[in-house]
Amino acid sequence: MIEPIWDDDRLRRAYGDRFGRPAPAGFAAAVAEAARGRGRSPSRMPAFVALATTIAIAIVLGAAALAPRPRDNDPERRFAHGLPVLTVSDALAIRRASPEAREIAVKGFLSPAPPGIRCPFSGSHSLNPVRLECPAVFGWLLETPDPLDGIRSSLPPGRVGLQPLFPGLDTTPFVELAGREGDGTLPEVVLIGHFHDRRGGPNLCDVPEPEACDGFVATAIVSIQGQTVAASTVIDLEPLTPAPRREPVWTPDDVDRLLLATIPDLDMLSRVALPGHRIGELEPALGTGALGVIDRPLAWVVNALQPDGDGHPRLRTFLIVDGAPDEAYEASNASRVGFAAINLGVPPVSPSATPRNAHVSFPPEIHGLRVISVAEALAEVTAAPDSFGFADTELAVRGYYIVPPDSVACQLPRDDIEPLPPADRECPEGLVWLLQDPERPWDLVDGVARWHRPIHPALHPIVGPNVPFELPRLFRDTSEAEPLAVILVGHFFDASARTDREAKQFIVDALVWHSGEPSGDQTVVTGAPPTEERAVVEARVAAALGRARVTWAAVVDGGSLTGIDPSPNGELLAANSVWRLSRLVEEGGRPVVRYAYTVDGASRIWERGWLAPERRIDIVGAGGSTVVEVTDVPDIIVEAREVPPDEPDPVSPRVITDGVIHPVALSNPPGRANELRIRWTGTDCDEVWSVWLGADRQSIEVKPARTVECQAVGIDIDIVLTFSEPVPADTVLIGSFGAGG
Amino acid sequence: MFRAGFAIPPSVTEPVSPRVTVPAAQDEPNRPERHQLAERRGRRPIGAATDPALVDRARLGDLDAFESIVRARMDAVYRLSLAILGDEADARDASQEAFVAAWRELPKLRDASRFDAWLQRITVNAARMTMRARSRRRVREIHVRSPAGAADGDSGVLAAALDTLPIEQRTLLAMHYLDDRPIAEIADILEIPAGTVKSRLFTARRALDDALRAEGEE
Repeated sequence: MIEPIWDDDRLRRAYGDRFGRPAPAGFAAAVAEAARGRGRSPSRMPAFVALATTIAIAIVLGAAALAPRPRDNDPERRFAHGLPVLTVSDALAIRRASPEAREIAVKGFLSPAPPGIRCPFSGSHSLNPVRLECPAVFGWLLETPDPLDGIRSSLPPGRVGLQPLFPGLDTTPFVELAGREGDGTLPEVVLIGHFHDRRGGPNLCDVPEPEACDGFVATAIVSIQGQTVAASTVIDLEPLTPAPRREPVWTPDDVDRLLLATIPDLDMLSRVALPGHRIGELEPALGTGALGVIDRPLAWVVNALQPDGDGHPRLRTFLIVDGAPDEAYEASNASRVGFAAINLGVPPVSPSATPRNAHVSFPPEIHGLRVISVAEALAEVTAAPDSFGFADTELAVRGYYIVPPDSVACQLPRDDIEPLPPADRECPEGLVWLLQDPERPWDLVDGVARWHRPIHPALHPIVGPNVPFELPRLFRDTSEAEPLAVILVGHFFDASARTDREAKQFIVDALVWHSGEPSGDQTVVTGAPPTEERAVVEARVAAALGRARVTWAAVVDGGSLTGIDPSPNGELLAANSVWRLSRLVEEGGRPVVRYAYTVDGASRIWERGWLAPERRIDIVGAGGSTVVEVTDVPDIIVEAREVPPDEPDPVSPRVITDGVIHPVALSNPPGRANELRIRWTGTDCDEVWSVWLGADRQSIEVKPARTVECQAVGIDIDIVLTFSEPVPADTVLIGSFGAGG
Repeated sequence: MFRAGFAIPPSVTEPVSPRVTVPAAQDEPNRPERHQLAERRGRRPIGAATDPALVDRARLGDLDAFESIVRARMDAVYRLSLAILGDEADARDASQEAFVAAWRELPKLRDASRFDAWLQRITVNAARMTMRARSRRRVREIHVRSPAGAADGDSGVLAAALDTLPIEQRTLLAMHYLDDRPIAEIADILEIPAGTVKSRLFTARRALDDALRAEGEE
């Protein structure tokens, strides 16, 4: 930017005029008083707790949801799944009165462990879901809706509450309420669960740690603010490294049908699918190898209620190896390992997942990027507002890509829960998903596919016209449609984003893996066929910008660049074949993609509308060395060279001191109007200086392009640029925006 | 090498050993300090650093000490919040939230001499949270925007232009152009590499230019 629309002084003046005012009178005193009124938690948190990160059970509910509160005298609210809904006080009374792990329904007001807590690593009992540890120890189900004052692992006098745990439960219904405005009270929640959990392996719930089993182990989230929550389904396929990730053969519906075929009066509460070697996270007694579940690819754990002889619902917990109905077990206190085999008979189900998606093994890393799940990617964009450092970090995201058929009804379902951005794109883009799990986000209604929001984490990949996917046709007809396992490389917070909303869209840079094979080495040609080989172009770009992995290459018509890049250059726009390379580089210690452009058969390299430096001058002075990179936008520089230290300047230079970092002297050597001598003093802290000639042929930007922290030693920089036309020193404009520090 | 009339830093003619700060010529500072810049532009500097002893007392629960800190730092916090949010009521909310959070979190601050940078970061986060709350609120509000610069000149045009930028860009621009913080200091406050700050600031300035241009055309 040679000539910003306002210079820095004008901008600073405007800032000062607009915002440089003191706080309102008396405001400081009022704020101090507010802090005085808030107080601090009496229990000092250790320093490690102060470090910010989001936690699994961080259910941000500082404000209540918009739904009306249920009326206590509503008979439908008195029972949940056949269980009477108790108050928290009643539930605690039951805990004291009986050591039985009996299922109860409790209504209370949820005070979650606040976000921003990082828990210390616990070396012991880390796989025990029953143990009350950080962060669950800071979450409460309270008798009354008033928020707690501060972060508490114990309640202040007068407050009644219990500490719920949600092992294996989908807590996203809480997360989706995060940040909703309300009346400042806690949301009302009805849970089903039990105390005195039977899952106590060695050293768990023993005498020295009685509090470890005082937690309320939830088996269902029944309702939030009076709104019913569907039975929980968690498909958690993440392996412990380095095990490969496997996809389930069965769907949750398959599992339900399998159980209901044998026990028809089951009332399903929750289902979990997880790798066999992680079974100990839910069922500690099996984590050491009992029943051999840890050696199986995937297992399902299902919680359900069934009325006993007295009509009182009792919890039944089943464990079934995925795809193997003859490997089914039920939790039983009579068994030494806590589970006993059961016979489910002949399953009236056929596997729903197709061979293509069954047990897909995604690579753990690609192009040097760790392959993450959709949920992890969404966590990045959610966390990013609190950390500038994330920004447009390049991510490799695995998932299942699905596009709607042409005939799909282009009508997004209304949803009372605000979706995570960018889930509200316009139709039909809003129906294209990268799914965490290979679910089918549509229902067939009279033979027509009606799209709905995916149950599990999903994002909308924004695929630019330069990254067309060459995938098998996904939708021949509705019955054969299925998502395809892919790995997409892309980023949030694209540099072209102008709003928060746009910034949170996942911009796809490359399809790097699908159908079990790496992809992306091919060149996508949408413009006139190129004359150069991709390898030649990559080498040419690397010579100017440095070596980098090219994750995607496309040849496009220059005229189409306006839809791809926000600031295309005229030279590119006029060309029939423009190469666009997505280059994976490191910037600020993180991987990012930067785009390089070059006209097919030409020599100049552009980066996002900015021309790459074409000439480089190494300056070695008495105090150190530096490099000057010369960028020539109008393409009129014939030569750039350093002036030898002993070459005097026979004319008095024009010295510019305003608007630049260091004074700059300009002169035309006598009789050589096409040459411009430029001198200034840099420092050895400035590793690279940029000299940029603007398109107007008169504006020259002189600024340090890369500076390190060090004590400065001055270095004279004295160069001559030779142009193909006269450039009078007295008309040249000099600027240096962007320097500092 | 330069002729008379061109200020030459002493280091050029008298080389000094590395890792020694080069004294700048008096009449043409080579790299002015932040407070010098601010004074030269006729505005007050950000202010002296908060006394670590005061921070230590507040950390131990001394509310009077904390109140002294609030009084000393309020203007800077409010000004930054206002520049990020553009709205006085929101700026008041964010400022209050920043100080309340600071009071709450102060026991976790290990190095009292880092208090000012720490408070700036809390302020940025508080402004961001306020912005998020406001963006939700606006779903139900009709946002009435006054004609850019109609009555306020450059400052009005600037406010209107900033309103179109993402909060991250507003934050960087405010820290650099309002608070006169150099890139290294912004990087320190935001805990990100200086190179990242530099590139983002560059992008932000470009976006602001576009927005100013658009405002000028309206």
